[in-house]
Amino acid sequence: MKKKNLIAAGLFLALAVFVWVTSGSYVPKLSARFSANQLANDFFPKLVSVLMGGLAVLLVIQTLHAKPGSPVIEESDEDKPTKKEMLMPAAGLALLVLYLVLIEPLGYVIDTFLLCVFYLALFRCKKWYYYAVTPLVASLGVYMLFTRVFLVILPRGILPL
Amino acid sequence: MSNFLLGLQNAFQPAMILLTFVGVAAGIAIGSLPGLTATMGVAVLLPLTFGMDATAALVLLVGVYIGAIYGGSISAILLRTPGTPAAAATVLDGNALLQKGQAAKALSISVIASFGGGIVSTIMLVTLSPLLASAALRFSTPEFFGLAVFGLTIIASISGGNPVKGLLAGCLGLIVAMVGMDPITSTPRFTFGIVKLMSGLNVIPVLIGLFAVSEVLSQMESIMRAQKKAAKITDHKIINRKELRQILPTILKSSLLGTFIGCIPGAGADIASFVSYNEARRSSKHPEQFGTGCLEGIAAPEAGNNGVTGGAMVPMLSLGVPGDAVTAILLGALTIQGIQPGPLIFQNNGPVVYGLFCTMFLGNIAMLIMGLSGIRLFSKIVEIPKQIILPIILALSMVGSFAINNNVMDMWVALIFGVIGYFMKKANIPSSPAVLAIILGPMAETNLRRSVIMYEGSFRFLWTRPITIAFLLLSVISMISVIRTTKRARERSARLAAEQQNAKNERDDTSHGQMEK
Repeated sequence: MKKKNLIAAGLFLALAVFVWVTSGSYVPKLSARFSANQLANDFFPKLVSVLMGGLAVLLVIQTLHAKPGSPVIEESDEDKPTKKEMLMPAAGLALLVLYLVLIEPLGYVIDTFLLCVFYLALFRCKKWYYYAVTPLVASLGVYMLFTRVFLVILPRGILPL
Repeated sequence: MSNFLLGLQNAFQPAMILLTFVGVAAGIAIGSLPGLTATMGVAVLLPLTFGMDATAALVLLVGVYIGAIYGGSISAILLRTPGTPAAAATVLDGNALLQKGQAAKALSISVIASFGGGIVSTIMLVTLSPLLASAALRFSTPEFFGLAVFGLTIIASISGGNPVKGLLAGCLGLIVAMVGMDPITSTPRFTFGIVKLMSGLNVIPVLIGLFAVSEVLSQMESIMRAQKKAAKITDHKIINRKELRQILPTILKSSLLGTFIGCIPGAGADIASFVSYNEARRSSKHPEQFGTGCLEGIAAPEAGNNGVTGGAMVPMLSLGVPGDAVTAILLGALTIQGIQPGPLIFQNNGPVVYGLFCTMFLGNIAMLIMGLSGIRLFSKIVEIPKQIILPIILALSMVGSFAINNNVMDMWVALIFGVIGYFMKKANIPSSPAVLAIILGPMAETNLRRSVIMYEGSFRFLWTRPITIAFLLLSVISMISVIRTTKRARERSARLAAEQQNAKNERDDTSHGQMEK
């Protein structure tokens, strides 16, 4: 957890610096009379970035000074995923990115059907009825529920639904 | 009295009772689906009421409202995906209790607390409408700023073991909330030239990403192991009398809090649930148990968010000012029916108003009946194999994100925040503070800057407005309470660790002694 804390603190610090630096560019040029009585629109971003930077530094100090067994750096070994298991969310994420890229050209029903089939294959499902039920419920079932009952228009794509 | 009897007669016709049940059932279904909010449910069903009479229209819409606010907790508890933003606080303890195999208990507390919140707020609506409305109307921008600051201090109490990480997540939420047009000068901030970001990031896709998508990604890690040991509900028992007595004070207090917050225009069920959760934790004798499946941790946000249902009606009926987005639609529904909300509504449309009050009682009873009888059915969701449920959650998450603005970009937002939420989970950084900050950030910034303009560039409002001072003092008390609780919890865990180490050393010494012998 020590390493993770330090990486997280570094990322938050970088974000705080980014927000501080860029927020100045969003201030519009206002007349002196108008701007005298109000807070500039970079006030709040800068306030938050200072707070975030300070907290990130505090997290670093907390982590470096934490004694063994402290809840700050303690991490449960129970159910810790193996390297192979860590690949699963990466593959799932890649499929999800592909799903979003194809949702407009293919339409919700086909795209979601394919996503479910690929996910089931990724999860190494062997039962055939999982492949029959899950993609149908998630694609056609959800499509019908949202378009017919809740009147939400979902991407149709190539299917004339 | 005659108006009340007429209202009673209107609401208790068999057709109206049936319509109440239909409305509540539809509301529960809508609320439990991630992405579909109570506002959306009421808006979708509004056109159906155009041909109905005023009482029937209100019966249906109020039923949906009550059902949807409760329904959000079902998916929050079972899938760790709040159906509505108002159920985001319920995830903390609701899902933790489910992990202990007590889904039925978590669901029963949720429905009973929601019922309590609904009934208390309806009683307050019937009896104290004018008084509550006038108190709520004393809220101006400095008071809203005070309320937002108080709300933001809740971040520390929902941060789990490390408040620094929770506050960092809160800052991230505040930055996310700044994306879009500046609330005062309307200049774009953090949009990077993307036109679709001008209107800011909607809280629903962010919430779906942080809770649902990140949870699916985390679950994928253990899916191969999960095939060997499927999730099981070990305890089918609902809450017992002793536990009910234990959570009753929390329900009552949270219901009153929710009712009051509901009365304040602009402060809805999502804020009420977090404020109620924080207050329950602050005043608890065992605050360290919050977040681990504590019963009060489920009861407080649920009573608080359903308390808003009656509270939000107070300014709508007595002043014609809606308390939240749903009551704004209900206001429209009343106007379509030729009813003008305001101080004269009780005189001009007495039977309809009293019919609405009776409907609210009936709607809450319907919710209790359906919620309790559906527990076994809802609990079955947990027992569905993960390989089936994960793709369905993802499909619902994506379609829920899309449904808000019919925009594919919101799906990308859900995905990006899903990845952020996944890594936050890896670093043990809680997601709830980020969601709370996204809800309260714009409220805090807008009202701070408006107050400064109102006071001609001065911060005088911070020490001259009694309600603002009260909220700021409450914020300080809340922070001190969290710091003390965290310190106590740390000391306890350090003591426990030392005791365990001593015991281990003693065991080692004994075994060494035996070996030497």
